[in-house]
Amino acid sequence: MAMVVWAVFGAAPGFAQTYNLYGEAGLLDIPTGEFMLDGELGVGFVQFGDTQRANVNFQLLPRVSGTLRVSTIQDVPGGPEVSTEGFDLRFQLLKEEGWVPGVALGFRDFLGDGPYTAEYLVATKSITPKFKVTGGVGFGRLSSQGGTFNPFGADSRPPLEQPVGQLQDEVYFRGDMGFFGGFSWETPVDGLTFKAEVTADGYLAEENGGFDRDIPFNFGLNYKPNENVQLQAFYMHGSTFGAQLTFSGNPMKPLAPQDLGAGPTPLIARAGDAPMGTKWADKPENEQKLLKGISQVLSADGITIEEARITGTEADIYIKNPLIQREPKAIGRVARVLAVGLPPSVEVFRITVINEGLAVATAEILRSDLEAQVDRPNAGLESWQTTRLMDAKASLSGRNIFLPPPEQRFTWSVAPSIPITLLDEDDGFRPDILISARAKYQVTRGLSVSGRLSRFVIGESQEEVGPPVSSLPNVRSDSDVYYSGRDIDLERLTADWVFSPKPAVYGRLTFGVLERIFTGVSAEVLWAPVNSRFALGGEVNYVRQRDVDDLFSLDDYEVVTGYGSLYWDTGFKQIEAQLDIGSYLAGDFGATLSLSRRFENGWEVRGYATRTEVSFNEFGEGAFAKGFEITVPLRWALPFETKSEARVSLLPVENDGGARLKLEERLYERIRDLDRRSLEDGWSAFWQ
Amino acid sequence: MECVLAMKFAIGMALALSLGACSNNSGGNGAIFKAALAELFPKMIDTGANAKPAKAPVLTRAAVEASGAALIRIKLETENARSTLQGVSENGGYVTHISRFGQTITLRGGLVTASRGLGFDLLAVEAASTDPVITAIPLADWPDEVTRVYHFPAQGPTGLLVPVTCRYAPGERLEIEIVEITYSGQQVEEICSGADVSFVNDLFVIPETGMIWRSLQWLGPEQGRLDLTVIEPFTP
Repeated sequence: MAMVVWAVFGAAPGFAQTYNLYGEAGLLDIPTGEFMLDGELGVGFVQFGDTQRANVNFQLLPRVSGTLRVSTIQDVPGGPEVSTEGFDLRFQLLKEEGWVPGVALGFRDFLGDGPYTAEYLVATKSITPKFKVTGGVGFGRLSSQGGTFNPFGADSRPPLEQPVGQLQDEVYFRGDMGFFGGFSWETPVDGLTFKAEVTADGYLAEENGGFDRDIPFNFGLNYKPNENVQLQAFYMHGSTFGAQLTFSGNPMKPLAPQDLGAGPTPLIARAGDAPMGTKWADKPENEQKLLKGISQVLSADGITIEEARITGTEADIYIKNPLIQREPKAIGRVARVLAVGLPPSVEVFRITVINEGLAVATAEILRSDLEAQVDRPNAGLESWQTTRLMDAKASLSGRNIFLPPPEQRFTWSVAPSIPITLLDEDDGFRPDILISARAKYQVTRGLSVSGRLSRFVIGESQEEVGPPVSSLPNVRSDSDVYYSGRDIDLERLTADWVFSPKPAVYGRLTFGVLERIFTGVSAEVLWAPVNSRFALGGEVNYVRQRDVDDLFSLDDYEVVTGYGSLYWDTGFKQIEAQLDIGSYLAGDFGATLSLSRRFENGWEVRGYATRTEVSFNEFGEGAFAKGFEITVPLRWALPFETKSEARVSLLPVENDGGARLKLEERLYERIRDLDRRSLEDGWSAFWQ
Repeated sequence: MECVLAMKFAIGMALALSLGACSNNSGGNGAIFKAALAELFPKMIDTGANAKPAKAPVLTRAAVEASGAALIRIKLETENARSTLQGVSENGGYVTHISRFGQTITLRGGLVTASRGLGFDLLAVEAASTDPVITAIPLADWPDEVTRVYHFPAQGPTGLLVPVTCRYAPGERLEIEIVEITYSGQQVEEICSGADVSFVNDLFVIPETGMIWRSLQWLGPEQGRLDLTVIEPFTP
């Protein structure tokens, strides 16, 4: 709770004001015992000498943060630059409060991928609100110059376990111990902070490449023109100037006004003596007139009625909401319009939301509850408690069902995007630009044909691609060939059918060009009750590898791949878990564990790891498949409703082992915004 | 100013993502591109939303009385545009007023308890019915302090709850005119603070009755204060 308050109202004691050169809460090279606001995301770029770092930091939980990094150093004079990836984790052991300093325990490059592997324990104390001192002990790289005796008894640090990319538990906190410290001072100039530090980091690899570490001290100035941007200039070890630019944002702190425009329809309660007769419902044309009027009002919010039935006492409405990002807001707006527009005798509203062709959840709302709750302080909670959520039927059955003529069946778009990879070991920050043309023809609600063509404007098409190296079937290791081998690529051409044979059970059949590398048929079934925190799914695919040069030709490799999936909404800090077990594209058997944190406004940070029977050595660089994704709803940064979102992949470690089909719109993705927990998380928008 | 820059930056980022996008779908990137452009360059793009409204007629007391409706006039403290809102619904003393553009303000007595469509919504305000801004009582009888809980959109059905305690500091006597009626009253500062927030509401109060005809009230950390004038109060 307090975290949310701080996110909205600004920083409180113990929160870091600046990022260090590793993209974490800290001074320059050293960390501090502070932490960022829950959910804070920072993306930073660092350059000094021949060293470059691109860091992405996320405060995963109030006391846990992680950093992904791609760094480039030069460890041979005039030699080639060496790019590596890195993963950091840090835990807040103590928060600064009173006399107690903030204390953090951190692991840099804890999988051993990069040159920065180190562990540390650090404390920070505010002497005055503007002056903070930091001190700590470090191991590994943080004790590489002037390290001293390790009181924990392990005075030698073994080499990293090979291949790197796996936990290095034999290494942590081993070897010499080094001390570091420093201070930060917020100067009288608004937004300008001075930093100074001393560190036992020897910069040994960089010194081999020509970097001079003359003194153990670093100095820097950090300037924050606003809360989303930081500029840092610094002088490293008495020899080298450098600069850092960091952008940051917080899911709970949108960049743009979220509620600009027309408010919801004011809800006027029925008069006590309102006529409650139902004779009007005997004439179907009355239903048609009412629904026509309601449709017109709802169209202002982009909501369309897909089917409906109104009796003398009840209204069943199936809606499509392509614009409003928070589904409870759409449900609330429909309920208000029904309460204003329907005759007084209609007491029960059942509003069903259709998403991506599937009717998922039905919210049953009593009109008298709405009338009693509206505008009162506890209306949010009371409306949630009195709304009954049910698994939706695929469609209404019976007589007098209103079926408006289908809206636009054919849709198309042409749009540029920054695809696939923000951080990449080969290229660091890689600003590729891809132009994609999409088209879709909706035959019926669940049946559609869609396709996507793309072409790189900047990026892959200019690259030289080496031969594949994996001993497994080359299902992913030669993906660069597919990315660079075609001028215009057919990324998808499929017929898709989604259906719901009974409430809470969903099915999907997809046939055609499924992705850039594979063509085939995919079938999926999902059981996902709206009121359950668990869902179960299964997927079977038969695919053949596509030819590199000819868009429609196929190679010889074919495989049946499939998974059983368990989805679990943990109920803790909006964290969802997914476990997939099955046979992967190269024929290997294994499992994928995904953990994601989804905020009510659509922000999501997801990490996944796959282990199959393929050994670390056989897998090759990175040891096993893993990666991270960040999804940012554009609504967060725009002052009007849209469901569009930007998804970026960070440091994906992909190879032939543990590779999966890249299918769009699997069933769980289509329905998960409408389960009980998601709706409850966003329910404060019901009255907006 | 900083907020405006951040917003322009955000819209610029969105533009970067959808630059050049076009589609035949109202919810697609093309629509985003157009709307984003309209935000940045309102004179270039006609989305309808920026159409200049016809100049509102000057409001007279005769017109107010002829309407028979509750009327308020609002203005965000940081902006110049004023809107007149008409009371359209009431539930247990909570009266919702709507502007011709669809924005709404809900009042309980003289206290703003909700706003919609102004930028960042104030969901609701919990306060005791004895709160002098809700129930008018002579200024001399006002309590030393009151407590309230402000609700803002956030995770969960109740949203973010921000409790505050407010105390009062009477100021100078003033005269103000509201649509041809001159009121003689006193300015009162309502100084509110909570764990992570503090703000000041300015109230223009008739000392004898406690009626508040004009006020500057806090709508939240992002929205700032609303300049509210009661032209014609709601009468049940």
